[in-house]
Amino acid sequence: MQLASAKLAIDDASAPSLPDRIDAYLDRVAAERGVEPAPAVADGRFLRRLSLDLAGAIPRYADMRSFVESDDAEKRPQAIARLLASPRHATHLATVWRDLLIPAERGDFEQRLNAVGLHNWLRDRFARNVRYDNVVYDLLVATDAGELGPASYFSAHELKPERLASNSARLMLGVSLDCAQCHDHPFADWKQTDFWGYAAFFARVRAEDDMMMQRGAVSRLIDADRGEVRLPGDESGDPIPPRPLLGEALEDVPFETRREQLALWIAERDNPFVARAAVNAVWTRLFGRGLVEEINAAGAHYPAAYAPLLDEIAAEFVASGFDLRELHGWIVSTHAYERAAAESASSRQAQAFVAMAPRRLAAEQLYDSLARLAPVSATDDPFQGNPARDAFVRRMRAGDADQLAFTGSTLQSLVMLNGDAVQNATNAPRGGLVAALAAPFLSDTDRVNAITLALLGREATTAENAEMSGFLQGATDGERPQLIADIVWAMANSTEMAFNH
Amino acid sequence: MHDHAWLSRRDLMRHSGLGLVGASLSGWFPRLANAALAEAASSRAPRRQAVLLWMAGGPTQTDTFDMKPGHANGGVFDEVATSVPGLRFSEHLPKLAEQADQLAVIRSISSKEGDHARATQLARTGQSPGGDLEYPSIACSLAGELPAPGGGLPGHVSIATPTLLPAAFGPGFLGPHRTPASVEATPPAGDGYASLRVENLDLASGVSKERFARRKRLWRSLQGEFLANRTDASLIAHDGLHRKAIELMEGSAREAFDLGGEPETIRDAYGRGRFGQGCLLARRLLQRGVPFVEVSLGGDDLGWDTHIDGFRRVQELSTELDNGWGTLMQDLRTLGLLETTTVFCIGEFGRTPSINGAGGRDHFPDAWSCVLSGGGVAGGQAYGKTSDDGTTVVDGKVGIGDVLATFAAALGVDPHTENVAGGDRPIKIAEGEPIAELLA
Repeated sequence: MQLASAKLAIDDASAPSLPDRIDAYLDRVAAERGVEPAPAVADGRFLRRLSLDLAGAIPRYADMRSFVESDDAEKRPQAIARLLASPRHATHLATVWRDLLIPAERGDFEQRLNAVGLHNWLRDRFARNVRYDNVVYDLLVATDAGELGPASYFSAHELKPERLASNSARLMLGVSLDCAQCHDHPFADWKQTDFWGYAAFFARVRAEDDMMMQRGAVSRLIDADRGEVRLPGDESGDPIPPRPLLGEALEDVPFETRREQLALWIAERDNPFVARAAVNAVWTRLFGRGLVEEINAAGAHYPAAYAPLLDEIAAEFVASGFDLRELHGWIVSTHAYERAAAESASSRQAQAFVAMAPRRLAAEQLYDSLARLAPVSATDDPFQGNPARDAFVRRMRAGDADQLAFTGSTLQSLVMLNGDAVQNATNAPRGGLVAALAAPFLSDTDRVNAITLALLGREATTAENAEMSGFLQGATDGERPQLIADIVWAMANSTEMAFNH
Repeated sequence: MHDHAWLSRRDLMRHSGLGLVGASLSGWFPRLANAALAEAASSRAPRRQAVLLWMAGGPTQTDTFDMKPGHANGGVFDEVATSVPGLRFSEHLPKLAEQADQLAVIRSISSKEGDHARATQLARTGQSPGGDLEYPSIACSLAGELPAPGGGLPGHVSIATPTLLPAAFGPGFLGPHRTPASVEATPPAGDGYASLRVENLDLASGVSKERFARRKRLWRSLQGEFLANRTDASLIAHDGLHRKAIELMEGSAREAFDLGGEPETIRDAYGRGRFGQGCLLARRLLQRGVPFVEVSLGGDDLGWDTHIDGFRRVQELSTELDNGWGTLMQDLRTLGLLETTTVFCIGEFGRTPSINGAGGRDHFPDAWSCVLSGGGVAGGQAYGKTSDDGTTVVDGKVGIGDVLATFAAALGVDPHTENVAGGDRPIKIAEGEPIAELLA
């Protein structure tokens, strides 16, 4: 497996690689702001961070251990390549994009869980590393009942043109047209007619049968030959014709549906929004905040500080053939991605991308990480439904897509303190990490370091080691598994565990 | 923006940790700050509390609070006098009849939804389904407006909640941190009492108190070291919520959920079933400062949905309702809490005044009743009037929005208080107008 950065270097040995150019840009802005970049993290922390971001879970202990013990100078690039090619990467990416396509901010959480078809559909494409622009095209034009995925995207938004428009514009174009739904946009130039002209592309999508009336139910999608949108409060006014952002109104033609017209515009190679929006979305996922908040067709993105950098990455992304895997590879290969955690996500270092903002784990990441401590079970198969995981995710869900915002409750804490997921990871007789570490030939210090490495990706501090080794000291072989389980429990419940640092 | 620079973020989280069960940042952060400031400003205002009694399935108004004696629709129960001259209820609500001076019956609700799911959504959120937002239940909205309890207790507890329609019982766009603590109720076995249990509040099997204490010690020292030099608000919020959860498991809060210490005479007075024991638990929680408690009667089997053999079942349900609610009111009065506690009883719709061929009544949203009582309510009256046959509202017609607004106002909350939904949309707690005549 070739590393993205290495491949670029081969293309033109004299030019710096994209990750290097990204770092040069970030370091220059940081210097201008007088912000000192944080040092690079040690191997364990790096692998934990990388594995959570690319595979959606902490590494297996065996992998973690061999990684930190390896003295191969190329081990970080190798780990990146291995994780990007793993099936778990496709599954995790499918979860991330499902959540973006069906945001929970409005409370549509059940919709999201019901969108199993969408998750499978995305995972299949990410596993084959289908071009991103093709994924978007297929999502927007899909009709086939065999492709339940896209249909559940449309049904989750109740086939409403305004909902589909605001979600797809935000996600696929990087612009918040929503505000223009009711009034002209306060700081961008979007007019109400821009929003409704864009929404008109979705005015004719229908469900073939009434199943669609029930939210979350899925059936075959069809494109009717009539159906219009009008400005709110102007129900008797003229219909708004479909119009791409910044483009001319389109005529209805017999051989193309409106959704096809939209998808063709989105998939145009020089569409000014799509590649930039994808890059910004992936960056947001990996750093907790985007390079920009709002994309501008002419490159005057808001805010301006990182607008040129976004454009530079987006140009490479287009040149790569909209290769999402390569895009992830570039970003996690930067020095910026390797830097130590900031003391706060709102620190100037974190805002300048020269220290990592602590990002809360999604419920799925937390469950899958705890599962890695437990013995391998039948439910480990990602293609099998897992009711325990669904129940955990339902209980532990966050209310906000923002990874920097923590919106928990005491009830969610109770799930961690007394619920099954942590108990299964710490139930000694059932094997897994606890059983492995109870082996008599290990020293207590070894055990403490191993637990800390497995869960948190670091060595125990001196104080931690003293306290926890003391806790294990003098235990009989019979008592030891329980005590080890107690340490794992405490660490699984720690704040450090609940975040990616 | 409000200026609260004098509150550092850490202070704010601490403060809210004392005040709110959920902590949140980002979109909710300014609101949290305002809540903390408001709480500080109004610390001398009397504590207000609320109980929502949810009648799942749609109770029959004609056999309870809006009877039609002498009419063909009247049914088999007698209408009897209450403690308030002229105000008459069914014979099967004796404890409530004694306290009718505290009760205000609204007999003139007219709504549009006649399907259980749609009507439940409407009655509980004020919004019919199909809108473009997931609206919070009125309980979740109001619970967030009331001063929070101490001692690790949650600000909103929901007892024997139906699981059928989570959206109608949940916080919607307010966010999952506003989810009520759910108490599962199991019906009594034989002659015993219904058992009530908070999910995940008990130690996991195989974990003794001593072992948990050990785990907690380890956890505390890990937390202390990790958080020592960190200022990130999300990290601090996570730590605070875990500490509150432990306090809830171990503190006096834990004991609030244990009905075992109540004398049998008291437990029996409330009724041995899920609703009765739920009302008793509600009283214990109110005593300890929990601002909002919901208790459901009818639950997942939609008990009040009495299409067949209605009178026998309505009589049983009335007795359950009367024992639970009536005893709760008596206790609250004795404890001096009735003046500050508003109790609101409503289902998703009423039932047809006409009796069907199976001896029951069917769904009926055109003209039905609900009852407000206790704090902030001008009791001892019936508001609005239905026709002699009960089929139409002839006076004082109100919608669900007005009813929910009246509940909010009785509780001392401005029903037009706005919460901000995704996309910066201000959404009122209730869109109707409070009924002035019913407010004390």
